[in-house]
Amino acid sequence: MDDRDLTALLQDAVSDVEPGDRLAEIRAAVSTRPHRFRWYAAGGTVLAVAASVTVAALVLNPNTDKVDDTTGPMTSPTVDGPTPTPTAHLVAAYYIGDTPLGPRLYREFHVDTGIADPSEGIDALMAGPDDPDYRSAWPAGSLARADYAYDGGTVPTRIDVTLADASLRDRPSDMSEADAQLAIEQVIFTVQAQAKRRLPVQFRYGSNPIDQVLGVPTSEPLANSAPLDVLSLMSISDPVEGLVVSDSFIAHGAASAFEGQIDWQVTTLGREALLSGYATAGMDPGHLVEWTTEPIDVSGLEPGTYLFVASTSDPSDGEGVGVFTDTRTIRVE
Amino acid sequence: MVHAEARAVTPGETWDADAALEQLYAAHWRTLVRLSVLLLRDQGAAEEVVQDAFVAMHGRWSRLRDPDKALAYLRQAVVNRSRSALRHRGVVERHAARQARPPDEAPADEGISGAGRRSAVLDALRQLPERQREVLALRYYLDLSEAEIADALGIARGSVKAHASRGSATLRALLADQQGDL
Repeated sequence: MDDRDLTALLQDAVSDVEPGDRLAEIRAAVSTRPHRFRWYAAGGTVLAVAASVTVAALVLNPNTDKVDDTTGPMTSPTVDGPTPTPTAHLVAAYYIGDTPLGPRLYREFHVDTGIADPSEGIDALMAGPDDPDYRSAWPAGSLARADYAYDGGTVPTRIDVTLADASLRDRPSDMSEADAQLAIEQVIFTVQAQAKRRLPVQFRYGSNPIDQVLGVPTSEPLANSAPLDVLSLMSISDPVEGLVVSDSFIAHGAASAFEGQIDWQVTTLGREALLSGYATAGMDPGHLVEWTTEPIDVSGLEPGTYLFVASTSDPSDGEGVGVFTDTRTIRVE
Repeated sequence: MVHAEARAVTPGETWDADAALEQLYAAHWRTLVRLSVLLLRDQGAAEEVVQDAFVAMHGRWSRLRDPDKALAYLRQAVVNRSRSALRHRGVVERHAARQARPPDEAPADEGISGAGRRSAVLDALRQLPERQREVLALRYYLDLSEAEIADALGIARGSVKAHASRGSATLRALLADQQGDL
């Protein structure tokens, strides 16, 4: 056993350690300065020199769709006023949007500065998405709350979601079975993101399990479906919808793409491409992987509203599953 | 642009603490947690140690002001805090519950022999004296130079060499029994 063997041994010994994402907790612990949604580059001064370090930042935690749904927009959510709020945190919610394979779930982040609560994910579902391309299957007033069940331990073992409206037991006549199934997945992925664990989810009405929701059998706790079967293969985390950028920005998100290649564009609202480039996501069969762009310089664009478009590449020239795309509106000032 | 003239200055001076935190987190979070796992053998505790190290680094940014220095500080903080955590009785027990992994996090194709080998290496590391374990992790996992290790641990370079050589000899002996699996 020589030095190289030792290196290989130690590398291997921890190769299966995939740490949970704690960026939101760290941000919350350090956020003391008063400002609103703060784009992490805060104007161009940082980004002008950030290119060299961003290459290193491409080595991102690849856990995106596993449980690390706090890998959120690179904003540093803090609050106005002199009193720091140590609980500022990101809430990931999944919404329904269209893809080449039909409706799937996209992840969107919201900042919550209140007390962290298991119900805030379902609150976000009912409040609806910021991105106008998405929709939620859960109107306001449909879900009452989410709670963790502990089974006597200190770690949650199950998430209970309580319906507020008993009529949700049956599938509406204008909803397809597939849509009902996706609506259930929307809740499961969202509350799991909140718990940061892929826990089984029990739907309830009142204090008892309910036998079906939207016609989907729910007597027993439900597991999530395989991420690649229900999630959009491209989801943008950054920029958040409507982000104001002054000089340049870095985008990031999660994707499952051929050879990990992500194409991005900044376009007019009419989808005329003005800037383009690519980023690389790692590859992790069965899961979405984080990607991050180099700083995107928009200082040459007229002030106005544009689209940031991120797509999976499609080497098959249209014969494969097709290109998964997510978009965000940005405002350049 | 907020300050056009800022383009001329060096990266360290233009990064604020938040930007440094984001960048260093993106690039080093996983590696540092894995480093701490080598030292502690407990992923839940390792994540807490590294989380605390990042918070501490953010607080010291005005004195660091340089990504390389900040990374060196993070490494040092992770080693020191892992050592304290290890000395704190019951750390493993307290955090054992946190290790419960969601079922889909276990690699589906994980063979018994891979997991067994990893666990044997971590067990063997745990049997080494503290300094030897730290030196081996910094040298063979992070690939640091003797000078960098000496800085991180606050010991002389000669000591680094001695710990590395004793540590690797002991580790080899401990693992010799499992050569068949390695």
